[in-house]
Amino acid sequence: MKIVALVAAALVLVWPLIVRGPYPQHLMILVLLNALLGTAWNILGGFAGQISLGQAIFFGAGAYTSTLLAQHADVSPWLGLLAGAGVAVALAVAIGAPCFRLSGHYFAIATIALGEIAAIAVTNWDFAGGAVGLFLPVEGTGIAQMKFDDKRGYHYVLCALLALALGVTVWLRGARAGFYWRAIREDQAAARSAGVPATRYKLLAISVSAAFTAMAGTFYAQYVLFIDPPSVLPLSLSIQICLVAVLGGAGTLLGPLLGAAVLVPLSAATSVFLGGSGRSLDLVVYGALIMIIAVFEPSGLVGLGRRISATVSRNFARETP
Amino acid sequence: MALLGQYAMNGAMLGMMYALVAVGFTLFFGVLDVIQFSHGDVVAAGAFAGLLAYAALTALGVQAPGALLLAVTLAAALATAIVGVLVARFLVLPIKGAPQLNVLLVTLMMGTVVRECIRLFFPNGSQPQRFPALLPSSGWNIGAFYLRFDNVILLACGALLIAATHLLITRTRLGLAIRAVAQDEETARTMGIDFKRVVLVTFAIGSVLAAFAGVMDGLYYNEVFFGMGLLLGVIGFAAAILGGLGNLYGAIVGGFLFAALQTVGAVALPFASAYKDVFAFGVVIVLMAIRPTGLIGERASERV
Repeated sequence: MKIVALVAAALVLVWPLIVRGPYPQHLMILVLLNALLGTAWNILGGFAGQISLGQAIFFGAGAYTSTLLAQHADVSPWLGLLAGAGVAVALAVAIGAPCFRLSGHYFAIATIALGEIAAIAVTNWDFAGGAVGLFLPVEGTGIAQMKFDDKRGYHYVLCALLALALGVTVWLRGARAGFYWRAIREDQAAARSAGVPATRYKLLAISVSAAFTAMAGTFYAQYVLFIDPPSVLPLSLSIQICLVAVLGGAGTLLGPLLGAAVLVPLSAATSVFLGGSGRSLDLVVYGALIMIIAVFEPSGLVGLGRRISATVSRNFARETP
Repeated sequence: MALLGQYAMNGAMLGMMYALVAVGFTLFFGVLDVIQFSHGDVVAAGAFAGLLAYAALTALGVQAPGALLLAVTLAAALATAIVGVLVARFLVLPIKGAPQLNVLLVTLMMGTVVRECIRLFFPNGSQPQRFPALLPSSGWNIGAFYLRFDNVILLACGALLIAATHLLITRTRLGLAIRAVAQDEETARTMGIDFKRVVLVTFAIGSVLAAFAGVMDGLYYNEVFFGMGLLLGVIGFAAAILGGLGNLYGAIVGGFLFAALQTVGAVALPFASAYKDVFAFGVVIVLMAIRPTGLIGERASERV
């Protein structure tokens, strides 16, 4: 398992050097972006067990904060990245404080409603471009601008962000917070009675999750150079983020990465083979495939992988007595 | 005054639609403890099935509005009942033991599939479709306020449906079985209740109510849209939890309350009316945080 992960990581690192086509490079960036978003979701949804279907709020916060700062105050995207994360954390605390009184589904639905509210509010907010959206000012390229002439630069910025998110996940998972989160996920009442300050640690989870989601949003804005509510604040984005983590395996470190590696090509393949010709069946097929995976493999692809490797090792054990 | 009456009427119509959708959510949650998130798109499927029946019958030369209305309603009810039962049988029941999140995601994706299928397979489905006016458009003048017959008929039909559902749940053997399953699935099974059948029938009932909401929406606005179910679903669900999920009366109260909030948001508040949903959802979230078990409390607070 470790060897597979290391080989995959090495492949990701050299990908833009060996693969020259812009489309495969773009696909890999989408995989990494989804992996980052899924990893961020996983901190809140997988480890702390608070299902958020409103991650687009934080993604949008990152995209809009950095873009507005760049437009009006000529602020570098790197500072915008931090500012966006700050705004997202503030929003996360504002959302979490009332909504963490709800649990399970109710929290999930509240986040859906909040996501819709955010989309409506930004659509009607003229300063933020309203329904028209915002173009990013481009004043040259390079690492300081977080804008690059080819996709390689974007690829490595994203690799760094993903590595940071994974590092923070590993660190928090093994720290006190990780144990508290798992206790809250399994049984909040029991955790509380054992002295876990549940609300405070849930707020920590949503803040970390929001910060990384916002960074992904800032990155997205630099990559696409145009943002509007349908592209950075839709419900479908929140659902996609959740799908990546859940189908990969919620609450595992590698699950969101696996989910992104499977879902992004799947979505691309359905839209390449079935979309375009006017009668785009891609969303129908994509939805149906997701349903099939979820019905037959409720614990996600990581669970499937574990089952396969368990079967393989059992068979090996039988052959070598 | 006349304007106020108009707003009240509009609020009542919206409230009836939301209540019909919310009752479905609450029934499903009652028997299976799941949230059927494609329910909103089932509403749209109902409206479009009705539209298909209308097109088929007018092509055959049927002109009588009464017959057409009956056919539209029956087609809508049949289509949604089928979708509801299929969702229950092949998506929700097989993953009953899985984490609840999976049910949520699977039904969300099912909603996407239903929505996209309408968009793709209905002729010119990506555009809003005109829904025929099948009810008399005349009305009474009460002072300066014009009370339209069709609105009155729709409201009366909605109220009758909800009353019928209430009677079905409280007065029949089937209703008894549904309530038994809702209270305790295991015990209900040992008492000889066919669990699967009860679940399927409940999904059919809830979906038929959604069909009426869809047809009502079409008749009221004279227009239906493939994506109409998404917001209706979220609102219907918000209404159901506002009232207390699993509680029939709570769903009805929640539906009308949400419509009232939207109306107040559009009329009385100094923002653009685009913010009426922002206002209504905001109030719902505050209410949910204050009373997590809903306005009409459930037996136990399962959600906290």
